[in-house]
Amino acid sequence: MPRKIYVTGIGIISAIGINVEENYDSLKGLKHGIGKLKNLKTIHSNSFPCGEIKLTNSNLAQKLDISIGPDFSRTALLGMLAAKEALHNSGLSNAEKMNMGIISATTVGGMDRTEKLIRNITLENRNFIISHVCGDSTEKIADCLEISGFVSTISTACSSSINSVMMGAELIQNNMLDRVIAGGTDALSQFTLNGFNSLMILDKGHNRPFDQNRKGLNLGEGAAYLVLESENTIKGREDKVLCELTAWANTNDAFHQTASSENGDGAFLSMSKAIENGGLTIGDIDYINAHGTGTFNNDLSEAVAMDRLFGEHIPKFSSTKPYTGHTLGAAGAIESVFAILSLVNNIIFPTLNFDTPMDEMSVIPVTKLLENEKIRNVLSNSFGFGGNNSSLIFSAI
Amino acid sequence: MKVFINGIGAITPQGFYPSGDFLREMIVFEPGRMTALEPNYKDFISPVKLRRMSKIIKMGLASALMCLDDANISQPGAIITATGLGAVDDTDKFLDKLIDDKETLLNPTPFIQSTHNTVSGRIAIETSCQGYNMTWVHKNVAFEHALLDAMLKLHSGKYNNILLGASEEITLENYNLKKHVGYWKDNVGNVDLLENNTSIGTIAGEGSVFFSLSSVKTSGTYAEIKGTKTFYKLASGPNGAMVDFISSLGLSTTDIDLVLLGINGNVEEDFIYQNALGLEFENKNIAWYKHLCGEHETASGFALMLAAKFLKKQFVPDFIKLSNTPFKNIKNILIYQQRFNRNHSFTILSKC
Repeated sequence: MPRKIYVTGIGIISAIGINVEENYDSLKGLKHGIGKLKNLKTIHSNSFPCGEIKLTNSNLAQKLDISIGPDFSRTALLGMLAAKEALHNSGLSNAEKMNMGIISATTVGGMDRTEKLIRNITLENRNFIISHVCGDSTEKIADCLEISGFVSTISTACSSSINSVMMGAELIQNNMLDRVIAGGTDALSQFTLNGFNSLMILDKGHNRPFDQNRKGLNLGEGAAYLVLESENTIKGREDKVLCELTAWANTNDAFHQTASSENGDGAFLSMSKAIENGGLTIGDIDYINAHGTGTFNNDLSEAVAMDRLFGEHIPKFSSTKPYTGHTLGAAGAIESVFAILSLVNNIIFPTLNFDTPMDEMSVIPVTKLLENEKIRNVLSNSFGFGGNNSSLIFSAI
Repeated sequence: MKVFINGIGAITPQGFYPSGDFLREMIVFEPGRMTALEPNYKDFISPVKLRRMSKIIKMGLASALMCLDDANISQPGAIITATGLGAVDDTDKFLDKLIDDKETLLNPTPFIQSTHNTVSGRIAIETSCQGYNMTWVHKNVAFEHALLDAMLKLHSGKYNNILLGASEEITLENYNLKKHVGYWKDNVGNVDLLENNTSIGTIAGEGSVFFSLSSVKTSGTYAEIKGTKTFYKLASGPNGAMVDFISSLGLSTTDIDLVLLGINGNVEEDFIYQNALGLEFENKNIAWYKHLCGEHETASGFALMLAAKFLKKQFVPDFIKLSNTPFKNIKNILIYQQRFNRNHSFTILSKC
């Protein structure tokens, strides 16, 4: 039997809060963080609302109690805050951090600095060039947590951080590491905002996943990390265990660079393989935190996949993207934290803004806050460009 | 469970592989970028698709297909790629246009192709591979993490074969950008790199190398991969970690017949290799490779290909030798590379 994997700490920063408690309160209070951009300078600030964290980089640095130069990207700062919280919540001592690794995910890396400075390089600011690469934010987080040894970065577009959580679990299962802090971070940038605008999939209003009249996604930013441990290392610290990470799967749609297939192959495969890998049946899944971006293509494809897999018995599902926006490389980890909050508190956060079911599919997400739900297993989906589809299953202890 | 390299495909500054004259002699570059010498892509990819592809996508996809062909496989079980910088050309194209036209009139194609997993996604489409798909991006150890991932997948017993690759492109714009931070020796060509190792900087390169890995040996098997390990920061220096790594694989330093080092001519980096090689490595065969492929984040993919070829052919060309030793009967090769004493990696391959 492979070693069991437990989650013993979570940390998060998003448009709806700068720690786990604030995020939980916002979700429970149906309070979203989508609004007019303040920090990111762009000509689109009046056109496209986003899930922006209203702290400036200096505010973030103050919270971290560090001084920052041009080599500190917003991506790194967000990641440092969320990872610190996760490690703190796990209650691990410095000695217990030995043989702990970190896997962080990001898609934009230091783009927020690069797009501002690339046409104005000076001797003082030139180090932004070195900190542009994805791996730089991971090293800054590792340094902040005083982790060395296995330090790694994954970038698979919008499924990036669900893949880092999955890989953290596999490294522990294979006895490569005792503990891993895994997650992802992405800051808003002109690059991604204009990229999604060029694809014409940004909603000028507030995103409405799985609704017939959905118009696209809202971008967001944030970071989230999970502390993963094996059954061997939690002895004496059982009170810190939040849930088990039971199963996972990563598949590819192999259909189109950006679009999802009509038959939802990739999503169908990742969900069904995760359930199979966990030795579970479809009836064991009590709630799905869907990828549900609010784009025409994603939501239909994901709904088709759920319909194919679960038939008449689609579990309760919702998308939390109306709260945070689509946080790209951080989305998988942010939604893993939300899935764990659902599981631990027996609560399902509704999809905001849902009004009309899709013509093509009769699937309807949860639209009201559901409390005192008995949740044993939560499945969380993240899909991305390149046809990447991944699913995780968290289970109650 | 053992892990074998059963196929290789590569597009590099030394030309492409498989091809008969690959590395027969060293291709010499003038100072500047060492750009990959490309095959006729139309042999692998339809012209319609080629038109929109940047160099990293072309190199990545073509070398992946060449590798599958070399291994006699039409569809891999999983695709695992590594890239430190990703799709630099498409990223810069989109960013330049964004700045020039003040966030208007943007064509989505460069954005779509700018993500780091573009190559792995494209291979999945071309090979209709719906299996596991992953992209590792951690600087100079991205490839080793991808290799580790591939080995774990083979150990799980769920995959018959895995396509593993490393791709990087160096555009003129990116080359010029990195001049600002002293990355390059502007006036040194690849053959003179070592003679100019008392100054900062190195020579830029690029390329794409793919491997078909399996736990089953075939008649075409190149070598066995024993293991790989990476370290972020080695407080007590690389020597101890290197010796520990060797013994963790059930080998001793006397079993190592060749050490392939990531020396790149940069005075700020190369002294680390001296520290790594303790007395146990005296009189060993020592070689290097970065003057062949240029410095780039996933150059260790190129090193793995060299090592695999040496083990299979039992031949090491003179232009990579750093020691005056016999270079005969090579059974185990250790690859050690690091950048700026931050991320270090050790990999061992063995003769089959």
